[in-house]
Amino acid sequence: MDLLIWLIIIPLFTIFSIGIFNYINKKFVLPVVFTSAILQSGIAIYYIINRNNLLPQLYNVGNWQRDIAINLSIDNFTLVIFVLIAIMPLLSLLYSITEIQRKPAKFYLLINVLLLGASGMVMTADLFNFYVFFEIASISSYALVAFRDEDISLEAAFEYLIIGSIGSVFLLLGIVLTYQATGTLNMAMIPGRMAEIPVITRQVLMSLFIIGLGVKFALVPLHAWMPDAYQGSPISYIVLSSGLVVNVYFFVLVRILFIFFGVEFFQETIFTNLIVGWGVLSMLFGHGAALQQDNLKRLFAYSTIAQLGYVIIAFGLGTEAGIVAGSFHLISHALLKGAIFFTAGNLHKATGSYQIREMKGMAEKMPVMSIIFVLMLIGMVGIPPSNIFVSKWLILSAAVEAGYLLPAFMIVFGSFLSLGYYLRPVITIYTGYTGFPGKLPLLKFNEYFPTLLLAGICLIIGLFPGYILNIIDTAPEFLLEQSNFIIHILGG
Amino acid sequence: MILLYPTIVLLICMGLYTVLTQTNMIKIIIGISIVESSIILLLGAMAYFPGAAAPVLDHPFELVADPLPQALGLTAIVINASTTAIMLALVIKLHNRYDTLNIHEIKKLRG
Repeated sequence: MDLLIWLIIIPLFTIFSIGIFNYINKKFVLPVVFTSAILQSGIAIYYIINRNNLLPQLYNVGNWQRDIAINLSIDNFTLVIFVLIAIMPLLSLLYSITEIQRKPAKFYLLINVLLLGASGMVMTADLFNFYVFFEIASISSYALVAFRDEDISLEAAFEYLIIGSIGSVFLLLGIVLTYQATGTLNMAMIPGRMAEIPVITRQVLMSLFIIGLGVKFALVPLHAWMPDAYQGSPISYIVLSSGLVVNVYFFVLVRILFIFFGVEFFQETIFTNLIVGWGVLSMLFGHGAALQQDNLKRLFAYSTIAQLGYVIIAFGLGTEAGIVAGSFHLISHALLKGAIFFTAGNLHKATGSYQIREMKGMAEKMPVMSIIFVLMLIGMVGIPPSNIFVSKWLILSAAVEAGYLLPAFMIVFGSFLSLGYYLRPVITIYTGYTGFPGKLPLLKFNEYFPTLLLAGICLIIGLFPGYILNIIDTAPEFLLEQSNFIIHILGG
Repeated sequence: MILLYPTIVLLICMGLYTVLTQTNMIKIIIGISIVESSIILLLGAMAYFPGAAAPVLDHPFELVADPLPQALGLTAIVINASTTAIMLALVIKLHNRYDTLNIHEIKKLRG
């Protein structure tokens, strides 16, 4: 069944119906939003379950000939993001019911625009549509960062907007120059022609793509917007951003680099060392900066930057084991970080602040949530049976196997470094009981359910990593072998 | 025509320089608009070659300009317009709250 196009039609349709239903009767907005979110998750799950019969699949919009058509494609590497599309948006929307009290319809509208852009970017197989979906996702992100309408969120949104616009200018320049050099924007036709153009041009194009997309997933010198944006925006958006959208940008960059330039291009030049070194640097920088933070949201934003550093190392190795390990870390980090952000939001109910120093004695007020928080923070460092342990182990063994011993050592060193800042909130909430005046804050179902579900999924993945590994173990086929992707898009 | 590509490079550099050095929010937005417009100029320059007709194929033709960069350029213009609109809206909100346009005076976000 061709369900791919519905991942774009459903959010588009939802966007318009939210506007109409909000005008007629506000009661209908929530059911519409959740029906659409469940349908999108359902499609993603359908593709994950039936991956052996359905993949790779191509949807040709308008049935033009394949070299000029608008192609939507799904292959085994796309499933990495489909796992996240199946889980994150639904839980994030569930959490937002109580969090977003002001103008909920607008929030749901923007979230659906964001989902439309994210699914479009993952599936599209030509650069023109990719640029359009990229901007759809970016512009809705800017609006969502400013959504709380507080001083800090407006300031963060302006900062993100400036950095993001410069980034998309570089991306557009990269796309334009790719067209100039190769004469096509079809992702499957570019690799063949890319091999004929001079090496220096290829390197320029590659840097343009890395800068343009690196801004969006907070590659280290371009990361400044992320902690600021997270500090000022609602938890539901942060979970969706850190758990899905950032990973989508990273996913697209990986696909562009591997498919356009080919893994041989990296291994012949010094780029493999450069990218692995860059990953190590971003990891160490993220951990180092997180040590100084006092705001929980900023701390976890820096931790996200550091965790993406691990993923960069894994993909930078350019081996099959590295790609599997990187995909696994992408998924498990997204799930666990989502759970941690939900918990931080729940703890916020008791103190009304995200500052760590104001969380003294929190364990007395919210005993269950505190224990879950502690377990997840320790899991994030990579202690078994958490899923991060499995993924770090995979990255470590892939790095050693590929002969990168120093990065492998740095992965272990970075994990010890991260223990330093993950333990700080733990110590604070378990010391300095002050006696709690008044009533305990009661958590609603939609606040604790997403937290527990995500934490449970992480634990299950940590205990039985085979479920996820089965889904992603064929992913490298479509990255390392350009010909597989080209045959998939253009036909035999 | 010889000067077209150097002009585009110059415009991009001018815009980036403006973004990096100015402290007034409106001037930063002007800088970004300059960079974005120069990319659109590049798209137009790529599509054109001497003697080419407009890519409207309803009559016999011999040489036409490349329609794809023009379509991409139109898309980019629309996207730039909406980004600029969001930027200006944010500037209005920030100006209402801080009563200044100087980005150095707007800093509550220092973690």
